Amino acid sequence: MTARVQRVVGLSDRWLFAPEAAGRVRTMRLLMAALIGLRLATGPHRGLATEPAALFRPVWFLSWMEQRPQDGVLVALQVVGMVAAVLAVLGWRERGTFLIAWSSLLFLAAFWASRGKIQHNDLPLLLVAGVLAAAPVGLRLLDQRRSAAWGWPVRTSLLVVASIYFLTGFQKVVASGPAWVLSDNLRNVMYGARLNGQAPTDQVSLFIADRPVLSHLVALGTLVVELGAVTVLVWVRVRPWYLVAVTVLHGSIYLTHGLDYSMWAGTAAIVLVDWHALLTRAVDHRGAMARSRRGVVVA
Amino acid sequence: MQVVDEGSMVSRWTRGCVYAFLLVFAVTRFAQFELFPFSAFRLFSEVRPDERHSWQLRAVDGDGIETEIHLSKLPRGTRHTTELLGGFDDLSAAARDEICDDWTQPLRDDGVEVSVVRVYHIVVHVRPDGPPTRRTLSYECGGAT
Repeated sequence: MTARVQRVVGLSDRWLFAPEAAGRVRTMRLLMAALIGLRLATGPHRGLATEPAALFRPVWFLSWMEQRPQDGVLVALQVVGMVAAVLAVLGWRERGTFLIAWSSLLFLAAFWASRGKIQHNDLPLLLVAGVLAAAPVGLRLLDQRRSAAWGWPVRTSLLVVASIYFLTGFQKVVASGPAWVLSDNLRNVMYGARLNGQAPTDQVSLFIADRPVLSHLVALGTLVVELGAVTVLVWVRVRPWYLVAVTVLHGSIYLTHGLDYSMWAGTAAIVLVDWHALLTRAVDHRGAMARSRRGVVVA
Repeated sequence: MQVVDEGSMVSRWTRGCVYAFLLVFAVTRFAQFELFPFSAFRLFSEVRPDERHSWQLRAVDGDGIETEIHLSKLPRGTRHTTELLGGFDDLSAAARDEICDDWTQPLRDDGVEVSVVRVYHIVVHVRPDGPPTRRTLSYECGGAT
C-alpha cells in the first residue's frame, strides 16, 4: 500500500470512528423506531394482500418461497412490527424489539419489491436502521459521554444517507452525462408524468414542462442537490440546509409524479440533524430558567 | 454539561463489520447490482426521449370488444407488474396465461366477460402536440373462465 493510500485509509478510519455522544445513538434509534412504526402503520404493504401468486417475483432472500404468504401472515408481520417499534421507542429490550420492528419492515418491503420492480421508497430507512440495529444499547437520551463506540453508528448512518443522495446524482451523470440537464430530458419526464396518472395534480409538472429554461434549471438544481450530498460529510452546519433541500426535492417529486419518498426525507431528518444536542440544549435551557426563577424568589 | 471522552472502545470485530457493510453498499452501487435492500439507486438516471415505449393491456370479450385494463387503477399489489412483460418471451404459455388472468380477475369479479387478453407494445409521444400513439400486438394470453 502506498503512503498516499495509507493516508486516505487512515483519514477515512478516523472520520468513521470519531467520538460522538452516546445519547445521540439512543435518540437516533428512538426516532428510527418511531419512523419504522409509522411506515408499518401507514405504508402500502397492506395492498400486497391483493397480489396474485403468478405475479410474485421474489427478491434474493425470498427466493425459497413459491408465492407470497397468506394475508394473515402479512398482517401479523405488520402488527408485530408496530408493537415492537413502540417498545423500542420506550427502550424496552431495545436491541431485540428494534430488530423485530426492522425485520418486519424488511420482509414487508421485500414482498413489495417482489413484483418485478425494485421499490426504492423504504431503502434508506432500512439501511440506516440496519446500522442502528447493531449499535450499542442501554444508553440514555441525555448521555453526554463521547466515544468512537457511539461514533461509528452516527458516522456510518451519515455516510449511508450522503452516499445514497450523491450516487443517485452520480448515476445520472454516468448514464446520461450533461444531456441529463442540457437536453429535453426533464421536459419529457414532466410531460410523461401526467400519463402515469399518479400525481395529485398535473399543473406542476406541466408548468415546468411548458417552460424549457425552467426545466433545465430544475434538472440542474436536482443534480446539484444530489451531488452536493458530500458537503454534509464535511460541514456540520450544512446539514439542516441540506435537509431542507432534499425535502423540497421529495415534495416536488410527489407533486409532479405522485411518488412517495417521505421515508427518505424522514431518514435524512433523523440522521442529518443532531436531535440529541437540541434536546440537551432544551433541557439545559429549561434548567437555567428554573434556577433563575428560584433565584428571583430567594432574592 | 459534563462531557466525558471515553476513548476508543471499538473492537476489531465491530470495525470489520462496519467496513464489510460499507463494502457491500459500495459494490452493489458501483456494480449496478440489486441485492435488496442494497441497490444501485438508478432513479431517473437515463435521459428520457419524447417517445415512451410501454405496454397496453386489453381484455377482449366473445364479440371481440376490447376493455382497457388500467393496472394503476387495480389493487396496489398488481401495480408495476407490467415489468414482468420484459421477460414474457422466456415464460411458458401456461405461465403467461396465469399472469394475464390475474390482471383481468378484478374485471371478471365485476361481471365482465373476458375471452382473452391482448398485450400491445405501444409507443406514446409524451408531448401534448406529438403524433398519435402507435401500437403493435405482442401477445394474446389468458382466457380462463
